[in-house]
Amino acid sequence: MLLSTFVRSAINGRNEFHKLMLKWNRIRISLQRMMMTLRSSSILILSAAVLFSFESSAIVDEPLPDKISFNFHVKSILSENCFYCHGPDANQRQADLRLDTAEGAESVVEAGHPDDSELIARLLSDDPDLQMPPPDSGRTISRRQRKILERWIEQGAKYETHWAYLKVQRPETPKVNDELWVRNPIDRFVLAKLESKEIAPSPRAEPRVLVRRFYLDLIGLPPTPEQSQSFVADYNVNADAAIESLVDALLTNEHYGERMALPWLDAARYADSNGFQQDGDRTQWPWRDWVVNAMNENMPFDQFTIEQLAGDLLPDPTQEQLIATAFNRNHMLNGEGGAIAEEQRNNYVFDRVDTTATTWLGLTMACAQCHDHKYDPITHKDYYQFFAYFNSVDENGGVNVRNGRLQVGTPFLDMPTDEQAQQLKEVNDEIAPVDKSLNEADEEITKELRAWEDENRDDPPTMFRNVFNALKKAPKERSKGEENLLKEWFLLNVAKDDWKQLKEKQKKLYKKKTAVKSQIVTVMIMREREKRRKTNIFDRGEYDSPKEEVSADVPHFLPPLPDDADANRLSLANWLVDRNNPLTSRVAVNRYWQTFFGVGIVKTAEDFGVQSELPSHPELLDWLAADFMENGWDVKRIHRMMVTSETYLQSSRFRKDLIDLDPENRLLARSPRYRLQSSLIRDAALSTSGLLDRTIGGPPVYPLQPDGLWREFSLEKFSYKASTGNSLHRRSMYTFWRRTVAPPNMFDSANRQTCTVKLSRTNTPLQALVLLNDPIFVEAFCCLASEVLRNGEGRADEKSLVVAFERATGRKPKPSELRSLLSAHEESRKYYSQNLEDAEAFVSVGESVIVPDSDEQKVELAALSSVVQIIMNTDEFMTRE
Amino acid sequence: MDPISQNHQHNTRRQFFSRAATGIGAAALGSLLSEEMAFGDQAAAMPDGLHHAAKAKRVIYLMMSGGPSHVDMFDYKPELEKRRGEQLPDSVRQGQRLTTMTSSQKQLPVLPPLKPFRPRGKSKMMLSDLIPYTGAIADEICLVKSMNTEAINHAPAATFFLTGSQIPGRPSLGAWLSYGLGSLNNNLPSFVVMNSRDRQNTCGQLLFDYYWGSGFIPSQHQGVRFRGGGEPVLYLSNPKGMPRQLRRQMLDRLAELNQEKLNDYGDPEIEARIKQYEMAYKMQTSVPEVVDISREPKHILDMYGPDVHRVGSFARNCLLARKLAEKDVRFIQLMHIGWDQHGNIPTQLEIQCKDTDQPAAALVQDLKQRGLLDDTLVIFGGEFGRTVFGQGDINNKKKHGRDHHGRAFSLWMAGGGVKPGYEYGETCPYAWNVVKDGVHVHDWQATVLNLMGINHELLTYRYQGRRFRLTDVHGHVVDDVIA
Repeated sequence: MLLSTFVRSAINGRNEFHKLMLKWNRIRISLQRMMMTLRSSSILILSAAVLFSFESSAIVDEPLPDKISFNFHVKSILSENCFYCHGPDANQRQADLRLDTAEGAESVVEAGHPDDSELIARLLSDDPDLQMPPPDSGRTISRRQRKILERWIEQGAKYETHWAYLKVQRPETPKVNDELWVRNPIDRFVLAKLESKEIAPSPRAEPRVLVRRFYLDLIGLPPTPEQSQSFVADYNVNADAAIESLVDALLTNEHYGERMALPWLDAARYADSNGFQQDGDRTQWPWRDWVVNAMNENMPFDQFTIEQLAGDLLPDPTQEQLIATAFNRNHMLNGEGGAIAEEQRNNYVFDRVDTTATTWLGLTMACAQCHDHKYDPITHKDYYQFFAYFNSVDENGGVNVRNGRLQVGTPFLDMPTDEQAQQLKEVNDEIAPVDKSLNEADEEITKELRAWEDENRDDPPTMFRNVFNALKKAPKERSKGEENLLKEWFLLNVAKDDWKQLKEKQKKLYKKKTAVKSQIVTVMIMREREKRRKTNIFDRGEYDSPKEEVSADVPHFLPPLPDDADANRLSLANWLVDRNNPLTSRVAVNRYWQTFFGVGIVKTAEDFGVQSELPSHPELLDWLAADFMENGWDVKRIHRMMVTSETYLQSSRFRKDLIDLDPENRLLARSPRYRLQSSLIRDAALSTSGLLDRTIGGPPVYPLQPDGLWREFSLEKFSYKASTGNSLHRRSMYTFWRRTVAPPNMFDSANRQTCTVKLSRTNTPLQALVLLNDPIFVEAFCCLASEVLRNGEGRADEKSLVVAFERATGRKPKPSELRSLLSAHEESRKYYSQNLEDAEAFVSVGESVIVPDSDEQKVELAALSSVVQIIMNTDEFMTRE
Repeated sequence: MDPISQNHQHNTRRQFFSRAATGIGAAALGSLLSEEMAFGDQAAAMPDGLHHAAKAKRVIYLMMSGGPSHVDMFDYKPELEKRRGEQLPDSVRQGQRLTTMTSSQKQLPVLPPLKPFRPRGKSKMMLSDLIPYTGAIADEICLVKSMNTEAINHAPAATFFLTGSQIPGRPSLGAWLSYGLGSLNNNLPSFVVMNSRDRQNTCGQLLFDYYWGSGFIPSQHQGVRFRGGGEPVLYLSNPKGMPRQLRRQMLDRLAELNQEKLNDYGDPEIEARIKQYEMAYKMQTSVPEVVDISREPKHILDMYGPDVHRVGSFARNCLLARKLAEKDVRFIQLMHIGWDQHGNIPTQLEIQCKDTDQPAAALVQDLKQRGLLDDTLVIFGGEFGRTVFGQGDINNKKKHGRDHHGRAFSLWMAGGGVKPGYEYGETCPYAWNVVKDGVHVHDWQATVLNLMGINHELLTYRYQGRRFRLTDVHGHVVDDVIA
């Protein structure tokens, strides 16, 4: 007891003494360990077994690697269990020891001698004062983890910088046994790993599955049966040629840009309203269209980056380049009464830091807003240096322009159509003389007003309270607003007729001007104010507690800026896409991988820091990242490579042999299989039924949604007015996205409030209710049924069911499936023939379904529609296979 | 064996999940398979789902949105009447920042409570005449008078209370509980939200869906909002012309088709899909049943007051909350708007109290007479309190109010293992600063989790490389309020 107290105080004491004590301690712990082993070896094994069972079997079953890599085996153990107190955060650091640096780690290991290493001794200790992690931390180290640490020390305890912070080097492509399987370099990396584990890859998916996969992944819309059949026919002649030519066609299909924009809109927290209490509208959609175009035109990713982050700082920026910068104005905007503008402004800058860092660097910068990062080497100072890049936007934190529902903050770009520009000019021309006359008369008006005030102050006529309040005050005590209010009232109610008429005319004209302006598209963009704001480190992240002043710079642990770089966003953007930047390219290709394989090579697509999950195929990630940069950041090229790899082309059929070997399919011995995101299920339903309006871009639309939803949320302040005609059937991405009331049928979507680079994929009964009952889906069921009937003889038969099934899934039903469809059809036809009213009601949905006149045909349509309903609710319909 | 549990046998990852969820209840609405389950997280590592014995199984949180005035309702300060109109001393204000609604106001005159306070119940708890029904249950409630928060605007303050952070994006309290404890029933959601507002529509406040959101934890844990009008749950009803019997037949055929696919592909997600549709079908009857009050006897309806007959009223929602509690819904969040009385406190506060006082008290009594109060925690409180000084001209009989105040305010809890008839914490004579036993929002959150059998430091979800928790890196359980 005495000894341990002594040891503890020594640990808190100075370093030299500390080291001395560590040696002393080691002896003591060795003794303890011997005792323990003798005493309770069985208990130790038992408790280890319990811990063991909580590790994934893939890890448990795997033998220890021969060569331990610090980055891939050791670091995660230290970061998870030790860095909280022995990591980068100086304020949290205990015992003056840090394990996130080579020096620190070396002080507690004896290279080559695990038994003499303090690190191991502490892990094994059962003395609560010595044991690490401390018992009250809630953290424990498993037997396997300890073995890894021991072997690492045995092998020389070589320390490495975190893998993602090292420059991307293009690795050699590995040798594989089965050369024939390889279609491109991606396959070498995947196959080499599978072969090392003696797992065979899956066979190629059937062509009809492939064609659907290509369409869904590349353009987000399923193929028509004709497109499907044509591919299958080509494939049977020459598989490779068919694949290449379809992929090329889809990469140049204009819907490719829409599909690829989706994850980018989520990352950019794009929405059509401001959020918060007022939740005013905004018109940022030209930026959304800019993204779609950029994707379609295959804008290189470096240019894509520079224009969005710093388009305004390019020489003579084009309007398009200014629109691009809306990326960092897509944050929420708070117009709440009582909000403190400077606090809000700082919140927007925080948001830009977090969004930019997550999107390009995969760094969780937000953690360093209040203190040094607990795990990554991002210091509190790094955070505010990064903050400084975004801190001089010409904004004041408030909403500066309100035109009807539109509420925007400076700086912005007005984008009137020619017609609107003309209208605006006309109304301004009308306003000018009126303003002039009133201004000229102002002195006289004021004089008359004062005289009237003196007479009426004590016994005023009926007027609004705010006017009354202004009147009660002496002119000198009034605010400018109060004076104007009173003057206006005076002119409209008391003054002589020609003044009165002028004022009335002026009011009318300004109202007209507002009406014109509220129609003009206004895009909030980035523009620097003339004088840069000072940036200070904020104590605990609070904007009203400034400390040391800092200037713009990149995080200290990443490659520095060139010496001659200006401290502005353009330098930052150039730095992000520099060949030496270790993160941008890795982060980007990983998210592309996530788009095509459901999960990134680094599963934590939002975090590449020390706490990130290790890449499943680190060499592949680096190879792709290097290839991406060295080929001019060519996005379509890298997409093409991914979707034409044999890895991608495999069947997604579940394999029993992989259940224990690779339960999460991280090794990719089969293609992944997962539910489509909800917006794409809706697109698929619209497209399959023929309802889809394929117009690209433009203002958002308002498809049908349950009555009263917006009113409920906004307290009657605004209500939802559905679009009409084709706008009801645009792709989901064009649905007006209100931040306080997201579209109710888009489950598992990004919240569009903060940056999101990975969607959740859950499974709840509420989702089934949407897909069964949402009128837009019911309309799709009926529309497809109606078309199938039109092409048939008007009466559904077995063939109609086959056609409908094939339209929805791209294949013919199997006999057993056909039996289910036939039963369903028989049941629903029987029901509807006895319940005509229900038949009529079921098919009377939406404008697009033509309800037949005859009862018999109504029954036919309703019966087939209810079968289509279940076809479009099959797992297959909503799944990327 | 049901398909879900069979599926668990296949998959190690999912075995964890079953461990977390089935420790308490059956596989539930909220616990269908999730791709995103926090693997190896503490919640999943609790063999019985709990860290310690729970005092409460469910929570009914009456969230009074807008900032109810603790000065007028709960925090008795006899000195204030004498000080009417006096300036709030700077020594008391202590530089507290004010919202922009009063930061330019030159005078900060003391405004005493609207109505007298008197001792209630055996515990002699001092409560305002504004809330006589609450007075009648004084011996059931635990009144915390030393709540405090840093936030001063509605949205950030409410977000803070409900998610532990002022910035939107974190999981809400109910989502954490759903995630940590799973569901207790299999045909209703584990987390239900119902919103109401003052009938006069005086207040411009909005409720945002992140108040019951799941943030970065899987979205099946987000609150399911039961609506006040129309369908109680969006898309719950079959389309017109699709009767339940036909839907049943169609779903049976759908299950056959999915089963075919499962036989062919073997993907366990397809089993989950089959289950998902079956549960949706069950929910189509269980939800309308639970919101139907036609079988409630008159004397019960009367307890909740006349407003209970109005769909979407707070009173109706309180009654529904009891019904949901009976059905073992884990977390029931009722949000009621209208407490933001900046300029109309003399008229509006009384009306607001009338709307809420009787139903909230009835809920506690109703739960008690059914033996449910012992393991149901009822919470009543807002995101902050209100200033002791008046906003506007306090001599104007009708038009004045109070501004937001986070440094000290009150909240009560009842049942679920808290001390009944108990007061905790103390403020200064101006009800402005906490002088004893402060309870920060994070402390309160830690305490609620504790009552539910959860150690707030161990219920974590790993996201962006960090183990997030409701209480961030703060929070201390307030042991003194636990019975």
